[in-house]
Amino acid sequence: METLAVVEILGRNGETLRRERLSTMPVVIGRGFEADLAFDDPYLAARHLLLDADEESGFTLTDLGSLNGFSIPARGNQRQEATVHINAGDAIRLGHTQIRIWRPDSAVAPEILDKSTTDTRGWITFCVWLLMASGLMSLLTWVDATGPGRYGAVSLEFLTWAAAVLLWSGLWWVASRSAHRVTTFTAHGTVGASTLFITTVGLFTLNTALFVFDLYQSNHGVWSGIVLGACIALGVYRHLRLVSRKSRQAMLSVSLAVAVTLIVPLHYTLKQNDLDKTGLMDIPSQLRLPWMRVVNGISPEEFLN
Amino acid sequence: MLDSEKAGEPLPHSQFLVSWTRGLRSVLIVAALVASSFSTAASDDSVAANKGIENASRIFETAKGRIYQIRTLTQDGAAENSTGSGFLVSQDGLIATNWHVISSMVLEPGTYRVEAVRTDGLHIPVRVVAIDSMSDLALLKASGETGTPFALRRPPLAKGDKGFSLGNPKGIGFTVVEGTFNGAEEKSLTGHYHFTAPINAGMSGGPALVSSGEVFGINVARRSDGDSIGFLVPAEKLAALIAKPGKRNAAPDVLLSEARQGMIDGQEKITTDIVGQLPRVQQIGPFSLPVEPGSASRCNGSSNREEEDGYAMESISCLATLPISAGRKQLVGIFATDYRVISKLGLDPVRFAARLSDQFGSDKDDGGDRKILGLYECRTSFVTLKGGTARVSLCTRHYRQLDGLMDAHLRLVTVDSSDVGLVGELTLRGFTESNIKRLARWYLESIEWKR
Repeated sequence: METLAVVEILGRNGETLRRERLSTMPVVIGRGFEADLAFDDPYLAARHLLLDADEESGFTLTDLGSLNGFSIPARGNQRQEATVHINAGDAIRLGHTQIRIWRPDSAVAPEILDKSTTDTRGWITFCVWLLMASGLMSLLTWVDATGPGRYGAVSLEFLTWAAAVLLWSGLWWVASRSAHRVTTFTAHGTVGASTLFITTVGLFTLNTALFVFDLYQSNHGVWSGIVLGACIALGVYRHLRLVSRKSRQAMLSVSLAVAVTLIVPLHYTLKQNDLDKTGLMDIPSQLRLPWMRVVNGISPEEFLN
Repeated sequence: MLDSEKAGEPLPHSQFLVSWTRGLRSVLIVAALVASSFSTAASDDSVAANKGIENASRIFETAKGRIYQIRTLTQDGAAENSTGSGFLVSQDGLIATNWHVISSMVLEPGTYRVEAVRTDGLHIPVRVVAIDSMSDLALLKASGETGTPFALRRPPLAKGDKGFSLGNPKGIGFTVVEGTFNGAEEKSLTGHYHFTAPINAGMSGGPALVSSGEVFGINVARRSDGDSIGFLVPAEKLAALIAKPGKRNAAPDVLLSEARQGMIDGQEKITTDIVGQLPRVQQIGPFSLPVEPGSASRCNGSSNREEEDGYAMESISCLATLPISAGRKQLVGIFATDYRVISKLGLDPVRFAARLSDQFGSDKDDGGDRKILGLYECRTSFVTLKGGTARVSLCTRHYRQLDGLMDAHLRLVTVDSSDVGLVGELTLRGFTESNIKRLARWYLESIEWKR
């Protein structure tokens, strides 16, 4: 039997629940058994709608005098009167039911060439991020290191971070393969390297701000923890979005993100005492900005009692 | 025992404590383990090369049945904790040895037991009956053991007099070594005799005799950095311990409190010595620093200057000790200071501050057995010194068995200068809280910053 049209029955969120092949035209859609296509929907009339093919590649819809009529979401929610022309692939709403009607020669989506494994554009983006992230870390080392050994330290820092990002991306890539959704190495690499970059810039900006506002001594640890936690959580979430398909995985990503966001600041808060002792001491006079507090020491006697 | 530290050689700063620990260990090894450079058994021919062959062999013959190897074992005898030597000092089986040979048995009662091994190989169980931990002496009682005790020599020896040290380096056998009496150790709080002889590990607690066979000292330590520099506890201290009235069947808690009392007395002696006199002041950069505190401290000679990566560092460390074994290779009665003056050469202020901060270090625990030591507790504050402000951190921890004794670690770093800074450390082992405060205050108030 020749298929004249395909009707997709859609779920609440527009997803396809099942497909019906129609081999006669026209057909009656409704709630009653006499309808060619019957739905258990109390908002439908027994004979609700008449569907027929038109001369072109579309269809005509005719209201058979139902109570609620039908609408075409693409054209707004207002009820369509009498006979209406629609194109193949248009969704129709009747009662609480949504359907989409196709010509048998149409496809769900056009076929395109898969370039995900051969596309070099992803690699360029990835390499740019990798260079920026590793370069930034090396720059920070260069600022901190002194003396003739400095260049060695900088190169080592660069290589270390580049290797870390490659390894990290590789792990996610392997994970994504086992999760049945193959994302590319470069996609994870871009996320990994950009997360590193964002985290570093974020912490640097934060520390500069804390220093300028003379809050470095007291709040440095907690704020660093919050920024670090948020950046890492964002990175993990972005990776998970690449591999996740189901809402279950989305939930996992959110809970992971929340956990990391909470754990890291908590950890830093607990370590606050240590940071107090090991961090930068009082700010040297040459670096002190005009509004910064001058530390007043207590006497040895007060300290010891 | 402190003298294992190289006195004339500067130590790398960051390794000061570590190196100390190592140094202290090598000394404790005198008692605890075997350093086997000394392998000449008394009966060996090699002794014949020595001029004193007749004396030495005669001495050993007469001492033979009256010297012992003292072993501290786990209760089940499965593992040996330490070995030393001992000798008979009374007719009814009183054996003298060093406190550090048997300290673990007293400090961890129930874990260890002590036995004496005679020259004929017989193992005899012994009890600890009296302790003078400050002099590093202990008396053991071996019931049923009889013999002619060694006589203690009263008249003092003259520098250059010959003497013979006896003992049993573990696994090698009883040995006798000849040496020269060289008077009391100078610049020391211990009051040990300096005896030039190759005293070795395991001989701790053995007697040092004059040729007539009288005991004038008890082997206690050696310098690990020198040749044949040995130390003896003067025999008078042993005589005093033997004469001390009291029970000869001491209970574990009585022994523990005797041991603790020696440590309390020892740290009091160090504290009084240091706080009681003005230290010599050494100027490094803008800082006046107290060096050679007290009468018995040693510093690492001159300050040494290192230049690296845009900053220069001069340092000096000093040490005053009256070391007493606190079990498990831990020593108490140690006072150590360390100063590092760091000056900027080409560094910008940010990097200089970072270098200074690195030198200050962190509160990382510097070891110590958890069984006998608690965890460090610290407090940090900005403290005004003479001439400037410093960030000061004081950490203390308790000895679990030794009530009232603590270790302290005080660190300071000067702030509010961008081109020169002082990092100072004060390390105290086994002091009372009040003495820690006295010494810490002495330390903080002795430093002066002239700008």
